[in-house]
Amino acid sequence: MQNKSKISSTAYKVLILMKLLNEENLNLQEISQFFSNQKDVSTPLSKEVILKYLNTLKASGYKISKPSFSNDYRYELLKAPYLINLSKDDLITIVKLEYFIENLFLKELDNSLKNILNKMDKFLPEETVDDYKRIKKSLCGNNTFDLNIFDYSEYAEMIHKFEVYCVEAQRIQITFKIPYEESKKTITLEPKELNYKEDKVFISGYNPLNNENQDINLQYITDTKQLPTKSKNTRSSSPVIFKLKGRLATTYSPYEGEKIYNDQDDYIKVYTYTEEKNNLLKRLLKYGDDCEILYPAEIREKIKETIFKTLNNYKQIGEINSKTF
Amino acid sequence: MTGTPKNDLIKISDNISVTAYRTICILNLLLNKPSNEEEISLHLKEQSLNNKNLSSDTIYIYLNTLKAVGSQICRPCKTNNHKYVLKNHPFMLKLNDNDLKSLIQIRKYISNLKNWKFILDVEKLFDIIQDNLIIESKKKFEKLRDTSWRYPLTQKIIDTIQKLESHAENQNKLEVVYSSPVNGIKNIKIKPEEIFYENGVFYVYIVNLSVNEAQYLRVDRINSFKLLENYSQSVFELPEIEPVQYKLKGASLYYFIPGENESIISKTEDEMIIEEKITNKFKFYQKVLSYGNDCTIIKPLSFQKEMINKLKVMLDIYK
Repeated sequence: MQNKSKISSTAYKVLILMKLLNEENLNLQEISQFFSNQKDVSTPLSKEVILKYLNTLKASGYKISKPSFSNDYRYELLKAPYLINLSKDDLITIVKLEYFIENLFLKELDNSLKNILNKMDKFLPEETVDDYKRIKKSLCGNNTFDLNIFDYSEYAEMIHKFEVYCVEAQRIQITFKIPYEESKKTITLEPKELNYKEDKVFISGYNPLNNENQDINLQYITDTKQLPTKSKNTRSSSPVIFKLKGRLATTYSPYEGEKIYNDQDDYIKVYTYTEEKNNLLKRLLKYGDDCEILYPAEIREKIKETIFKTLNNYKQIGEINSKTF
Repeated sequence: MTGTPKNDLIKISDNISVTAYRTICILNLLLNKPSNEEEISLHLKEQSLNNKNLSSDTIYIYLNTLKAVGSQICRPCKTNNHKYVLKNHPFMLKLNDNDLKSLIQIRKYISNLKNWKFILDVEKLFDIIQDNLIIESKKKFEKLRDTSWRYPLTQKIIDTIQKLESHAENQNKLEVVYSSPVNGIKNIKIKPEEIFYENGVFYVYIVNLSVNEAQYLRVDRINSFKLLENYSQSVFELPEIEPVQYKLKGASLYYFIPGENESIISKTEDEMIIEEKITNKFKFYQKVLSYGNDCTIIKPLSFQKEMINKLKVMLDIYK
């Protein structure tokens, strides 16, 4: 009769070892340590037993590199038991993806992508790895990328510096001078991320002093200082609340950091927490009379003032002035 | 995965676990294809140290051991042709939370490129990665991907985009069934021009053949479409629209990048005059409104009047 719960204890441990090595490279001590922490493994595994298990994996066709200086004296499963099929088009996408991230000059993100691709490497058949190398050489050699990426190289150093601040959640002080404003400004920022808009790069973050999200164009930054305090990422700024009606109310999908409250049939209320105020104003102006800012009062006043000033622009045109106002 | 040749295996048999070896043989077989008990038995006989048949009970123990490490193996039944099917296993790709977060961040940056083809290529690649992740990573990645799109990108949308692109290339005319948020479901005769991606949404820029107007439709609202084989209106030309001129000043000057249909007529330190050949009035007004008081329409008069009316209605809301 079939015994559903009965398993082979040795086979179980060998499979667990295979799973471990599939995920990361380990040395004998780490393997031994892992098994000694397992409740379902009754006795600690000796070095000889672990070597026997490794031999079993090798006998089953799995290549395992010997511990050496180059692999930090760890055992490495060179190919996973399970392989991923990627087409040539998928490989081209990977190469383009690498090129794209490289050209954003986000070193940390670039390293993350490389790390992910390294992890995937052991899951790819040898011929796929060869194809990938060939495609990369060919595409990079001819520089045949049709991605239309702007050249951000002049900001490379700043981008990396801000990226590190974001990753390390480091509060900073930024001084910047916008050409159409008279004087320099200095603000405290809890940087969140770098944003790319066309040919410009912005550092986006939360200003704890005025409780607002801000985007600063790197082009206008004159000085940056790291402050001896960490960002308090848990704190969010107070929301801007706006009402949408008409077609927008039925079709609107929230942006990042937005929540919709649908308490009426003919309109929706949107609470937005993360968007920089000037960008938000521009976006809400686009929605025309389908949108009304409800809160806070100063933003409501600001949009009212902007609409009024825009309308006033047309007062300068005398002929229209007399006809329409 | 091919194991050690039988003769070599006999030489090293003292230094391996035969039970584990056989269990891995079954794993390799099931990774390759679903198999019934007979096929498993035959495979073990070919791969193992001796020629004797293993009992059903022994094979069950091996299968149970594979399940114990986290494999999901479907029992043989009519629907799977009476074979054991490996549905899931723990030997797939494992990505940690930081890896998954990085992939989502990468996608966010790609969506700024406005290169819809690359966006779809990367989505396809992410689908493959997701399919090959261990179950925990898979669930997390799926959730992150779903929540990071403003609008879900379904296979139906991807298929529609690809077909529309092909019809646009062949200059075909179509009748689409479109689910309009205002007018409900309606049939529209169109000539698709090109696909574009904006603010997380895929659109198709079209010529509406019924009203001779350039419009754009959201791809996810296209329910279905059929080819108009012998549509009588063979040559369509967009109606001539008088170019619109507008003036920009202030901060907007520093952010302005001319679009495809825009040209800079004059430029000083304080202001810029731009001329635009408008293809879609709705989009034009949206853009001009977003500039706020940095922007003034200079001509034609009809556009100025319409803008003034729009602004008056907007101002009324705040009175």
